[in-house]
Amino acid sequence: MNGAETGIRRPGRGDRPEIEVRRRRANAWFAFWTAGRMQFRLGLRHSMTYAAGVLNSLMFLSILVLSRREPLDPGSTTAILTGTALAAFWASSVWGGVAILRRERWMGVFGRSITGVQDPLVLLTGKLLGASVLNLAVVVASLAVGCLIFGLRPAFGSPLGALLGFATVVLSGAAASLLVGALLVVSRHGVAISNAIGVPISLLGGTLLPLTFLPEPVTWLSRLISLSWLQDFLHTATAGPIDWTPLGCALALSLAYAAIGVFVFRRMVDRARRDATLDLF
Amino acid sequence: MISSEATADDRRLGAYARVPIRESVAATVRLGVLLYRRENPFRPVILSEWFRVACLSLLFTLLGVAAAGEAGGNFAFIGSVMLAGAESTIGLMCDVPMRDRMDGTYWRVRGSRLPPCATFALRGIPVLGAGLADCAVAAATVGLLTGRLPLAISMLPAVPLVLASLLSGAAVGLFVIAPVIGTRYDTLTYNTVSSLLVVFSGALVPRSAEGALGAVGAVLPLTHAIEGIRAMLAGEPWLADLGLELLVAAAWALIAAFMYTAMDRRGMKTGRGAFEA
Repeated sequence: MNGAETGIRRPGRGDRPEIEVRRRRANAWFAFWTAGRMQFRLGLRHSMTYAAGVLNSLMFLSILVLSRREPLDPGSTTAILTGTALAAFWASSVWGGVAILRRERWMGVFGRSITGVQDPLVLLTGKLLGASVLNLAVVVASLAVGCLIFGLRPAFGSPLGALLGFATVVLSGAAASLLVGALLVVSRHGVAISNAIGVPISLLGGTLLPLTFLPEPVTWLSRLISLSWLQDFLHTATAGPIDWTPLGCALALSLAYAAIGVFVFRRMVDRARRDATLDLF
Repeated sequence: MISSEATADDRRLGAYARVPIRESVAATVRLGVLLYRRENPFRPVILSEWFRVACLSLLFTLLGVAAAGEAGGNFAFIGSVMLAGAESTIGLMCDVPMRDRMDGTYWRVRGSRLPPCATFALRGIPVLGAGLADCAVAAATVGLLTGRLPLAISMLPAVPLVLASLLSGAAVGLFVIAPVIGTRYDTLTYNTVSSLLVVFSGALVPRSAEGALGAVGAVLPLTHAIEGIRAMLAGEPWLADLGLELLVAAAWALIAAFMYTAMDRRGMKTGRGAFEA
C-alpha cells in the first residue's frame, strides 16, 4: 500500500522563494497497517509481553492440571487450555493493549499521536490489533509448550471454528483494551489500577473457574465479560457441535466495548486539546 | 544525619564516616518509610493492591474447590494467603533498589556509612509490613466470602512463619533484581520468581519433596513456611520448618549481599556506575 504524494506550498522566508514541499501522505489503511506492525515489533522487544504471556499461561496451566486428582479427558483438557489461553490473553492485554496510551504518555509521544494528520483512532486501532495478535500468539505458543510438558492431548473438533473463535478473541481483546486504556490514561495511577483490574476479570470471566462456582447474583456480571462467551464458544468449537450463539454474544459485547471506548477516547482527546492538558494528565 | 559529636571541621569536610552506625540505620529506615509512603499513596495504590490481592486469593481458593472439593479449597486458601504476602514483598522489594536507579541517586547510596545492600534492606522494612497487611486482607476477605474465617483465625499463631516467609521473600526480591537493574528485563525476573513460587512452593499444588522439582521448591522462599503452617494446623511440630525458612532467608540475603557488592565493584572498575547496562 503506497501513500499518495501531495504538494504543499510553503511561503518563502526572507530572500528565499516560495517552495513546494512534496510530502508523502499515507492513506488511512497504510497508517493502520504501519501502526499495527510497529506495535507488534515493539511488543516483541518488551519483556512484559513474555512476563505476562508466557509465565501466566504456564502458571495457570500448572495450577489447573497439577491440582486435579482425577485424570483429564480430552474434553476437560481442551476446556482447561482454552480457559487458560483466554485468561493469560487478558493478563497480557492489560500490559499490552491497555498500556499503549499510557506508555505513549510516558514516552512523550502521546500529543503527536493524537494530533497527527491521520485520525488518532485509526492509528490506535492498528496498534491495539497488533498488540492483541502478538499477545495471543505468545500465549498459544506457550500453551503448546505446556501441552508437551504435561503430555496433554486436547480435542480439535472443528479447527475452523477454533480459528474463528481466536480471531474474535483478538477483536474482542482490542475492543476491551481500547475501552479500558482510554479510561485509565487520564489517571496517574494507571499501573496500580491496571494491576487491580486484571484479576477480577479472570475471576468472573468464566475462563479458569467455571461459572457454576460463582454465586448466582454475580453471574450476570460474568455475562458482561466477552471472555465468558468466548470460552463457551471455543469449548463447543473444539468439543462439537458448534453453538454460534456465544460467538454472536461475544461479538455484540465487543462491539459495545468498542463503541463506548471510541466515545471515551474522543471525549478524552477533545477535552485534552480544548484545555491544553495533553501532557498534564 | 551528622552526629552531634562531629566537629565543625568534620561537617565541612563531609566526614560522614564518623556518623554512628545506629544513627545511620535509624535514618535509613526512616527514609525507607518516607519513600514507601510517597510511592504508595493509600487510596489509589494500596487500596487497589488490596483489591487485587483479595480477588487473586479468592480465585486461587475457588480453583482449589473446583479441583478437589472443600478440602482442596482449604488447602488452596492457606497457600493463597501465604502467597499474597510473599509475592507483594518480592515485588515491592524489587522496587527499592530500582528507585535509586530510576532517580539517578545511586551515588548517594554509595556515600552512606552502610554498604548499599544494607541500605536497601533497611529501606525495605516497610515492605514487610505491606506483605503482612496483604496476608491479613486475603485471609479476612476470602475467609469471610467463602466461610473460611475460622480457618483464617486458626492460622493466627503462625505469624512467626508468615514473618519468616516475608523475610525470605524480601531477600529473594533483593537478589533477583540486582543483575537486571538498568536493563529491560526487570519485570521478567520478578514475575518469573512469583510464578515459580505459585507452582513449586506447595501453596496451591501439592508438593513432592523428592526429585529436581522438590529441590527447586526447597530453596524457594515460602515453601517451608507453608509446610510449617500446614503442620501447625495438623497439630504437628513446626519449629523445624520455621528454622528452615529462616535459613533460606539468610542464604538468599547472603547471596544478595554478594551480588550488590560485586555490582558495586564492577561499577567502580568501569566508572559507569553499578547499575548501568
